[in-house]
Amino acid sequence: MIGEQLGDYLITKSLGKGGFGSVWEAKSETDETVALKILNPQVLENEKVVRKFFHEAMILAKLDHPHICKLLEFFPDGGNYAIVMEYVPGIELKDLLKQKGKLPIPQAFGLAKQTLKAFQYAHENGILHRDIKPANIMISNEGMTKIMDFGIAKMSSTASHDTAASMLSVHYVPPERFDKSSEIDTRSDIYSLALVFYEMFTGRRPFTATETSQIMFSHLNEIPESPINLAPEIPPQISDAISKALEKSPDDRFNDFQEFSDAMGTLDDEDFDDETCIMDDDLTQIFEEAKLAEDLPETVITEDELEEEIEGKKKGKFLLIASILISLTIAGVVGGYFTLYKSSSGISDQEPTTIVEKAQTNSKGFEDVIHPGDGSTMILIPASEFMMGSEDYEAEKPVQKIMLSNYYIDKYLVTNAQFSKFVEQTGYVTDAEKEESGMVRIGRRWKKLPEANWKTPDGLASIDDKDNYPVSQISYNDALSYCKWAIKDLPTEAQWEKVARGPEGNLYPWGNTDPNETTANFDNVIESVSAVDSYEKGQSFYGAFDMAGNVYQWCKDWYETGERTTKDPTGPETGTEHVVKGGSFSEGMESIRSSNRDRYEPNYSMFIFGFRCACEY
Amino acid sequence: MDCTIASASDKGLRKEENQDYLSYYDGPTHKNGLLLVLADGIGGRSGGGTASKIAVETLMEYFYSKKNINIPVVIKKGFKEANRVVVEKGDQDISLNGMGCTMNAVVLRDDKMYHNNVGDSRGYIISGDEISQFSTDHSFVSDLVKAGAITEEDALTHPERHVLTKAIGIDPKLQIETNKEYLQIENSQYILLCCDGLYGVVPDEEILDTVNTLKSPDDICKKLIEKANENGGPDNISLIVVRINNIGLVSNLKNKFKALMR
Repeated sequence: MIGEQLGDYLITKSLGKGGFGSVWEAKSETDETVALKILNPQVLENEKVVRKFFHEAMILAKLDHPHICKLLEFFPDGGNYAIVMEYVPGIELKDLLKQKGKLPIPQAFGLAKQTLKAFQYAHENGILHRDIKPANIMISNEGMTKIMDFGIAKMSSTASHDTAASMLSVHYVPPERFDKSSEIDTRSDIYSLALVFYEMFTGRRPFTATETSQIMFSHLNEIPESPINLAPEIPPQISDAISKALEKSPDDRFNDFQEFSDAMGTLDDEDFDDETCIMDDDLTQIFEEAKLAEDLPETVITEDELEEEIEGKKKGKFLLIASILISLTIAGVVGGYFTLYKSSSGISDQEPTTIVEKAQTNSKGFEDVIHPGDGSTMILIPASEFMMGSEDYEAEKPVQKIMLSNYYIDKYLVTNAQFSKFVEQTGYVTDAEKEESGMVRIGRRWKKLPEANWKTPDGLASIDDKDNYPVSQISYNDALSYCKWAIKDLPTEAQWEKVARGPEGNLYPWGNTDPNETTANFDNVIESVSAVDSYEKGQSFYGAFDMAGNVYQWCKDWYETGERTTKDPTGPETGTEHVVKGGSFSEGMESIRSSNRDRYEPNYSMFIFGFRCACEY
Repeated sequence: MDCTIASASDKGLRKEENQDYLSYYDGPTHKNGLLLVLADGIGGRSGGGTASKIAVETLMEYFYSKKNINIPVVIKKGFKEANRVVVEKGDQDISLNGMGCTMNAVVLRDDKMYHNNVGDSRGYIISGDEISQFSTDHSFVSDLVKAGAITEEDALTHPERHVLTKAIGIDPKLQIETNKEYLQIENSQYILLCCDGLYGVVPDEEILDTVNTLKSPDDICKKLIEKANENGGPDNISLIVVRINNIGLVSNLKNKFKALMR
């Protein structure tokens, strides 16, 4: 395509693809740079869709707003249709958010106000967008927002097998879109825009599921957390306005963008002028950094290096591991050390002290030690490098060699008996108890049940007679409070992953073979949690149980993606969600892979969430 | 392993062109196993048909170009390669821009069946009087059903029932999971790969009934095409039917032993 002439335009560069067609940078006869959208021939076969599009395109061509990317002309060319758009050099809001997380409030507010004006203008001209998302909001080099793809979105959303519509992203789709009896109107665009604002102000989406069907479910049923709870610095009127725009029923949202804008109010910042001051120095810097980061090359480890095509390659490694195991077993009983924080009662941080405990060599050749804090068995994980991450999913990239110092980790998940003791001694009240509800899966649906807490994790069955089962329906806050009481800590994600994968970076705790009913409690085989010592064959390289399946396990780190520190990484300084690992009894084999990771807010409690502790060497 | 394979493809009654494509290994026993692939083109004009042909042929070539393979990984990578090639061809030729296809692949080796798919073409296993789908539909309505927004009955008549959420050739960054799960195959089972032109108009029970009545894969293929056309033939109809005659003495004993241990 590059170098081809289309109408009066010479195609110079590919700018991307969408459900409706492809986008190209092109030069006009007068050397003006434009963006050329070429509609898929497949789209054009649906006459009804094309008619609708042209109707809207005619209106769109008349739109003239500083924050809307202008349609310059459209023309047929050899059976194809090309749309000529204003070319906006800059960065997509999607990339800006990916690089920066949440934006500083004055800048987020400024961008929000600009987009609200643009959408109000379009609304007054009778045009819906239908596909508002950060990828459709461009920020020009001058700091001006430009809304892209008005009307075009309609085609991809109404087409069928004939257009693939594979670009249909449900992250920003209003609940009424999933109900064929409901009409889409301005209030639907308001919902989508509010989701974009949510991300700009808090740095994350309200619904964090990764499966399309789960995201749909969240749009339909889950009430999003108020933005202010995730980012307390947000002015309350902005948080409230976003929440109102995210109401499930369109009737409960704003009627137009002007109402939405009014509800967001103004900022009490003397230096800030929402009309003109978008591109102040701060944003310029953010913008430049983000663009710079965008240009960085991606990870150099190829997928081929990670996932072996050839079956035989791994066998040699197993032999080597086996010989190490044998030599370690011969070493016999050795000593172990715990650095503890003395605590008389309750949950507190005090001066550390060192306690020496007798250690026993476990079946995998590593040292098992009894921790005096809560009487749990911990394994000493010797300092070494290991391979962390995978190339299978964006969130797990990159694959990196990570060096970890010595540390201890619980051999088993924290049990109901242990947690009961903690509650008895401290009077601790869990987040689910405070909130008087916890997340539970009923059939295919997730639901908050008022009766669900650690004593009745699924809202129905009590934990009586389940002393040796993992405590569940536990939030990060609950897990960390327990750790402090027991004079321990939560493992970092790297510590957790090393214990699960061993130094070679196995797929699963037991190696690289698929899980089955003897190695892990997964895939709803038994449909509930199991005692913490049930899966002897599923022990990890170091001898830890339940590193795959049974319950998800909280890690200390705030969640983030990308490159990690290569020695003893502890994750970012701050964040909004913590990492959970290991999958659960209800997850399939992909989710119980040791590199799999998910994330939830610190107070999020679910009946498949539990934990194990770590401890400094 | 001894099996009988038959396939058929028909443009149906409403479409001007057949954009489906299918292929399977038809040579002496190969160490990599027996690969069967079926694809359903997306879009009109020549694009869809070109996409399905390129995708299937790319996967076949990729799969048999490797030695001592880890089957699930090679299938996954073959899908990625097929996607890359289709995307590239679509970018090069404006008349093919936006072409794509579904793709469904099965590998039979010894007594195991590995599979993977993108889009809404399906794989079924038929064992006695049971028929079960082993493929995953990547479609808008199947996600709506999972989300609890609509029922399975609603999905059959939903106006957007043909909207796919994944396809070969559309997104250069298409995510494909390595499907490490395999099915244990047994003597007398049937494996069916088909596009929505068949299962959209011929109910599962009728497919099952046809298989159990006719028994011969060739006859089954012909009859199912006939039935799809009797029910309106709104789309291209393609299918591959495999009957497992004998999985081999060792595999058979192994399966029996496993059954005893259960």
